[in-house]
Amino acid sequence: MNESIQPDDPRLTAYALGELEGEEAALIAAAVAADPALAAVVEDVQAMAGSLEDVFAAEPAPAVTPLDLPRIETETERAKDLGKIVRFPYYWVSGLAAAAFAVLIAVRSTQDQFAPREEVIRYDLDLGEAAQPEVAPMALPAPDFMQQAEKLQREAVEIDDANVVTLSPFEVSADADNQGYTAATTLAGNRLNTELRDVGNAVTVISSQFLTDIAATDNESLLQYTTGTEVGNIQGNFAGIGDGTQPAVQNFYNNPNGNTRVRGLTAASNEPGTTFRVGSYGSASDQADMNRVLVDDQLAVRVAEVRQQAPAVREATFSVRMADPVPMAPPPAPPLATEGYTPIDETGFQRVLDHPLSTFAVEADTASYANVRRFLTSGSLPPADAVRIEELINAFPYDYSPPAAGTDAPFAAHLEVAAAPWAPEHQLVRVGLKGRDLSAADRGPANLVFLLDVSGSMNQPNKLPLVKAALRLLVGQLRADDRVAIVTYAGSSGLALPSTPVSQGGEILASLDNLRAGGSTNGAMGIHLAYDVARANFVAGGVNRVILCTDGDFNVGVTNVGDLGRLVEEKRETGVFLTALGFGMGNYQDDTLEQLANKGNGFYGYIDTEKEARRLLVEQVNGTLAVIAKDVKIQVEFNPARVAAYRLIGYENRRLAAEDFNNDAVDAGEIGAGHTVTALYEIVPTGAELPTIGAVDDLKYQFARPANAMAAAEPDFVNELLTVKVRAKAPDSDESRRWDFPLSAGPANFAGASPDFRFAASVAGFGLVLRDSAFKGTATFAQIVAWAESAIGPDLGGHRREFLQLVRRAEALAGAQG
Amino acid sequence: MEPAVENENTGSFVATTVRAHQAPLLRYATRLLGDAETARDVVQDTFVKLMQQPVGAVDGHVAEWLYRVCRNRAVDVLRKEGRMRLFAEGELEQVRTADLRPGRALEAAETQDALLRLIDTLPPNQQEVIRLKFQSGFSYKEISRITELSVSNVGFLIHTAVKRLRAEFAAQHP
Repeated sequence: MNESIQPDDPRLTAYALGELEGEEAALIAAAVAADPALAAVVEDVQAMAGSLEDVFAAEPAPAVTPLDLPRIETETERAKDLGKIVRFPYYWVSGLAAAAFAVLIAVRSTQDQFAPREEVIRYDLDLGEAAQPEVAPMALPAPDFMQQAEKLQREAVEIDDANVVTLSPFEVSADADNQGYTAATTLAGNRLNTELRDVGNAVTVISSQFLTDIAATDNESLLQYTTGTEVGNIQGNFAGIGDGTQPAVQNFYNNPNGNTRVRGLTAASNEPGTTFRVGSYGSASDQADMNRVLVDDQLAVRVAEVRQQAPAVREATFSVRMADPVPMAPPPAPPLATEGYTPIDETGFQRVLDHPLSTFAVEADTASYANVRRFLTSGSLPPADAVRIEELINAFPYDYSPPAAGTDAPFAAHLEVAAAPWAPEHQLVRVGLKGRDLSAADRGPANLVFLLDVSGSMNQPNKLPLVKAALRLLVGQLRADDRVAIVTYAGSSGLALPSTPVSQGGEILASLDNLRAGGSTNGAMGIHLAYDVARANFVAGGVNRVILCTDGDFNVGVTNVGDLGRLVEEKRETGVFLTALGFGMGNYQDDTLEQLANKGNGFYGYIDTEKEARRLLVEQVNGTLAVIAKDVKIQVEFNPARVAAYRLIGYENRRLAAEDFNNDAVDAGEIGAGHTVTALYEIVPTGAELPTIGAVDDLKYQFARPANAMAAAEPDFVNELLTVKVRAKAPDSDESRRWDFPLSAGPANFAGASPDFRFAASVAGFGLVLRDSAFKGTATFAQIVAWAESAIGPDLGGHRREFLQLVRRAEALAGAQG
Repeated sequence: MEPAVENENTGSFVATTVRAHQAPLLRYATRLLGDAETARDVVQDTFVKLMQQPVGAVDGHVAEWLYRVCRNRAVDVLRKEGRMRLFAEGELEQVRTADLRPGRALEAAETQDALLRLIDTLPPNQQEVIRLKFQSGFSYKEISRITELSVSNVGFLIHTAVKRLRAEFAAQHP
């Protein structure tokens, strides 16, 4: 045995199919006989070969009309005759001439002297309805011409119209479509029915109807609607606009006269955007891209524009110049950011008597913090809507103790109250939940599908390469019996790696390495494929998850966020959850990804550096993968005897109506294994000055509840500030359970609170200042630094120190802005 | 008038060949070109060329000869029309993938449907070789002559395609 044959050797396949001969065949045969693994492969290949043969045999054959053999044979004989005639050029020439005349004459069936020709050679399969060439009737030639033709014909050698090859006729035509006057397709460019925009030159069809409709009286009006032309006018040169169906295009906004020269059009339609070059007074090149219409009340329109001043500014070639040329309107304001953030509606204080219950859905996403960090490290302050305070707070690990071993509650609650540092007369209540920890051995086997965006937009160092690095880290944390599949979506979607156990980690890593970016993005089809693969390998009682890694830009196909969300919801009912990991910047769609993760019962994180990848996918891998409680909701009831008003900091997107708390059908957030969730309330104790809140009229049909009525009656409640009620479902159940946690009033000193409390408060303050919130009180960046510094604690992993750096950087940036 | 009639294809030989190979050749040409009308023209040309061959030259390997000529003609047509997409990867998948959902195999009773769909996901050059092997029944050497690839290249393509089909099929039917 000089070499060992691997199961992957192509020779095995060849051997299995009977293609090997002689020595090679003997060698492989011996190896197969010796190794049962190889024999299994051979058998498998033969089985597949058999299936393939069956499948192909069963495939329906194409419908074919029988070839007309005699005609074909005659053709070849005639072809040979042609060869003969070539030896006698005189006859060939005269024959051709006569044949031409013969054709002419043939059409005139009224003439008796010449028998009409009836056979025409058709150079195609006899379909029974090949078109006869239509020849217009000719005028009668002069009489001597006829005699001459007749004479030539008689002299010709055995010529029949076999030598006349009639090409199938075609017309150059353009069809008008319904959108007005333009042609959409044409046969002009090549003999295939091509769309106009694929033809090299612009072809504009101006019909007489069109001219009448625009009341055109001169060339100028005509050419206004033709691209690529130039017309002189009193104001200068200008020419056609857009695609000719409408004179004014809503995407362009850059002209003083209502008309501008369009040098070329690269997209014939106005969706998703129009690229055109504007010339004459100060050339510019514009690209507009307006393609987002969001659902419901969230009208976030994305306008992406690239504009460059081209150097080719030309003088008007023929025009009557006015004495003072009209200056161009100033260019429009710089383009809006192309990133997408759901606007945040901050709520103010609410009176306990009017709104005794505060309900919200828990979430443990941390993307906003990473995103804010990305902005600050690259030197700009983040937009206010990108700062979600609850995600900032939740990005840090806190030292809450986990639930006691004996109980079956999936989490433990930790409540604390102290003075609010930015408004000392108010207090802060911290509600913390700590999820049960699961070690890697405890959770069920994982069935993961990585759904990766490999479109062109991912082709940057902080995108696809970072995705690969992050996933490599994650694979390193999985157990040998976990399974991983990779689905990519770009212009096409594909299964880059079928579901493979982690024991074959080499294959997984190799597939990861081979990923390349390119194409546009068809997210919807990719999601379908990923969910199907996940369902095909479903592990009951395990972790079944689709992990979506993208910059969030879904460009092709279903772009409606609502449709995508409905799809994800539908799929989560089958038990496969979705985790969304965002990467990159510039095209980043934070709102889309957050919605998808929320609907998919999963976690949403943003990965800007390898360190963050390590934090999410190594340090907290179990939390990211394994959910220990589903649809977790919190409802807080405040005691009006103690609390006059309250304000929930953050969670604006997660508010629920009071009746949603007990409604199990309402979707809420998930808690992963070992995750902590923290929420902060700013409360105004009774006796302190109330912030301005609008007054609510007294009710006409119900008795007004006098303040403190109930509370005064029950002595046990006198000291309680509030009660926190938590509802959660087990990951595989649809019924929730409820736990209650009361909180008593306590010492009010901020400095006496626990370090975790003080740190969480400073993070909240940071968020408020970054957003320049109306409720930031007396907080400033400098004060936040002071508060946080005193609360650093052991700080494993250095996350709190990093926070301090960010605050200082924000301070510097804000100072620089003045 | 021409002597040596035995030099040309006799009518019955051509007739039988055409009857036997017309449909598979048409299918092959349609897959190469993507367009049924052009495929018909190409097949017609192929048979015309066949008739110009003496019987002895093609007897014994008619099918292989037909496929090779058809393929060359198809490549010429593609080149002339400027669409050398014959071996482009990914494009065919783009058109077909709209219908591919391996999860549907769970619902589809027919293994054959699933297998056909899996085959459609292969790159066009692998598909061509797989069909030549398992549908038209050619050997590696014949396929190598038809497609003008080396025998080992053909072997590798078939091996890769079969391996992938086996893996994906196994993934769907555990």
